[in-house]
Amino acid sequence: MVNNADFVERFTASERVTHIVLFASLIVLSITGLTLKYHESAIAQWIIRLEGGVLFRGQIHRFAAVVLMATFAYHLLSVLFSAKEHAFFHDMIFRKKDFGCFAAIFKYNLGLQKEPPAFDRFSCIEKFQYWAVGIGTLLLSLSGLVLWGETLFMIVFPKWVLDVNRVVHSFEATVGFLVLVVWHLYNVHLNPRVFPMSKVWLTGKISKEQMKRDHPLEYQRRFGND
Amino acid sequence: MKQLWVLVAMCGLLWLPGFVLGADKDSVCVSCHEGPAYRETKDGKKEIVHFDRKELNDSSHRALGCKECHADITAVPHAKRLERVSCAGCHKEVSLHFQRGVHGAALKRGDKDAPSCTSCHGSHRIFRVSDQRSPVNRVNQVVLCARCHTDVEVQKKHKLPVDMIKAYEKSVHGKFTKEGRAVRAAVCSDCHRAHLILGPNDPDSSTNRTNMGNVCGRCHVQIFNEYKVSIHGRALKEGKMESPTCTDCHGEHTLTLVKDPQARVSAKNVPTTCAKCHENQEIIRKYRLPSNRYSSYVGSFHGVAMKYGDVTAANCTSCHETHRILPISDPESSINERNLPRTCGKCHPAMKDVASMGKIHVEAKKESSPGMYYVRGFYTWFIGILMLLFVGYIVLDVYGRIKRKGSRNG
Repeated sequence: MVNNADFVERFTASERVTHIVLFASLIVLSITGLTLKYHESAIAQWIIRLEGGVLFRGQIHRFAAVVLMATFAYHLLSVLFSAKEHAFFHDMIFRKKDFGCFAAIFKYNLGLQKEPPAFDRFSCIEKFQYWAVGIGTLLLSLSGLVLWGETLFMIVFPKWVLDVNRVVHSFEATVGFLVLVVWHLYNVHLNPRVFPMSKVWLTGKISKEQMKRDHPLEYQRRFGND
Repeated sequence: MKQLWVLVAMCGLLWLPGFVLGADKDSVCVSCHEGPAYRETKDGKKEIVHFDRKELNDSSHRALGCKECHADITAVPHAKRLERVSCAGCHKEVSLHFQRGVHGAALKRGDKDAPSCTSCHGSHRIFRVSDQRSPVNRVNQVVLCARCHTDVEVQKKHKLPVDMIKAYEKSVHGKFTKEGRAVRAAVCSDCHRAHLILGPNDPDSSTNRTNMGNVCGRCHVQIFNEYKVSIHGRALKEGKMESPTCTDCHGEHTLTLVKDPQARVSAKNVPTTCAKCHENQEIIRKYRLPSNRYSSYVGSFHGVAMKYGDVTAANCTSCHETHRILPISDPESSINERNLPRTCGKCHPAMKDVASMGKIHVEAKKESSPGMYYVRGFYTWFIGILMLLFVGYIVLDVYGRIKRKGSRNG
């Protein structure tokens, strides 16, 4: 049995729920969105039929988009009004040394550097993901809203802006999808050390041991140099 | 007593011309043909040529005597083989038309399958076209033409189109004729003419592409008027033979109602029907038509919605009109900048207030849509590089882990 004292909280209940709602909505958005983008492929056609046709597909997509935007807004408000979340956001801000960390990881993996770069609460990889998802969600929400009310926005914008908007929505979604599926899933879940999955997103707890190894600066900050 | 003789003589005089010229003048013919009369067939057998006076009395030729048609009979008994009856004496114009037509030409060549007057109209039991008893009456006509035109042997021998009667029967014209729903639903002769039937490649043919509009326009007046002023109608008139006529979009014998999903002009099928020409590179080059109209439509929301069964989504004709298709430069055109708000407004009411619209069929090309072109270019590179970095990182990460593990174990 592991002693509870060996574990510390990494994600609050609110953060975990936010994460679950976020990825649930993103999965739905990805499936309904990508099938539209690749509507010519046979698989997409099969999925669109499962989704109840192209119009109902749109309804599902917009419903999930509202959920995503609500999640985004909730997170924004939390960061603004909860001290804990404010600290979370503070820890996520890119610092000067984060820019060198990618190079350090490369060197470490190539064996040119003995020690891995030391991270605080969030590694540069995690920060990159956070900001990629944040900026992606913002861009996709805005361009998505314009698409949602395209007829209305036609009155405001010339058509070429709407055409560009559609391209942005489509490609930005692809970027987001790839960041999450390739980058996030590998780094957090599928990499050999935690394969098939890290449980932190469910329990919200991280062992002190793991913290010492993966987030030594945070460990130092919280528990000193023991 | 003398008076009585005068009366008898007068009666006789009155009766005599009747005997010679009137109905009874055929009594000589009838005396044999109402009884057994024989004709030698090709294989030497004898065949009764029976004639029932009643048949003729019923027909529209009831006033004619035998010799008026069988003109080569000068004496009785007549020659064993009689000449083919010629109708040309009375039906001069029709006869000329028939001879110019494909059937007449075939008959002249001695084609055994070619129909003569009697093949279609009957011989003694001949009726006016308007009489429903006539085989050429619109009620019976399709069955009549089908006698030869569904015969596989005849089709093969003369390279005739196959299945056209079957297709016609399924068509809106065929169905309406069969159901008697429309008295004037087109039958064979309405389009192909009755006597001056010509192949579609003959410039004089009613079904030649240059004349097709006139044929369909006889009934579909309003539509033909719209088509005439359209770019298609005008181009065809100018001799641009690729320009579509009615049948190019609607089909020939297969044509069905727009609401029939199988129709070439149904909402779902319109894009592919237009694409036959508008995606044809040869035609596009020759007439400098804008290219990629179809592909840019298919990729659009309208196209995708249509593809997945939303037939209310806009198809080509929703914006370009169906028959009165005008070029964008024409101020009357539904796609002219001035009229676009109204055209789009048909489905998107808010659009009515849009001052200017911009290009509808967009392609991410440098010249036509630089915004799309550069944004797409940026993302393509961005995603490419990002993926290279991701994959590179993962490969390196796995490599590093394996190497470190190995060195620890060793």
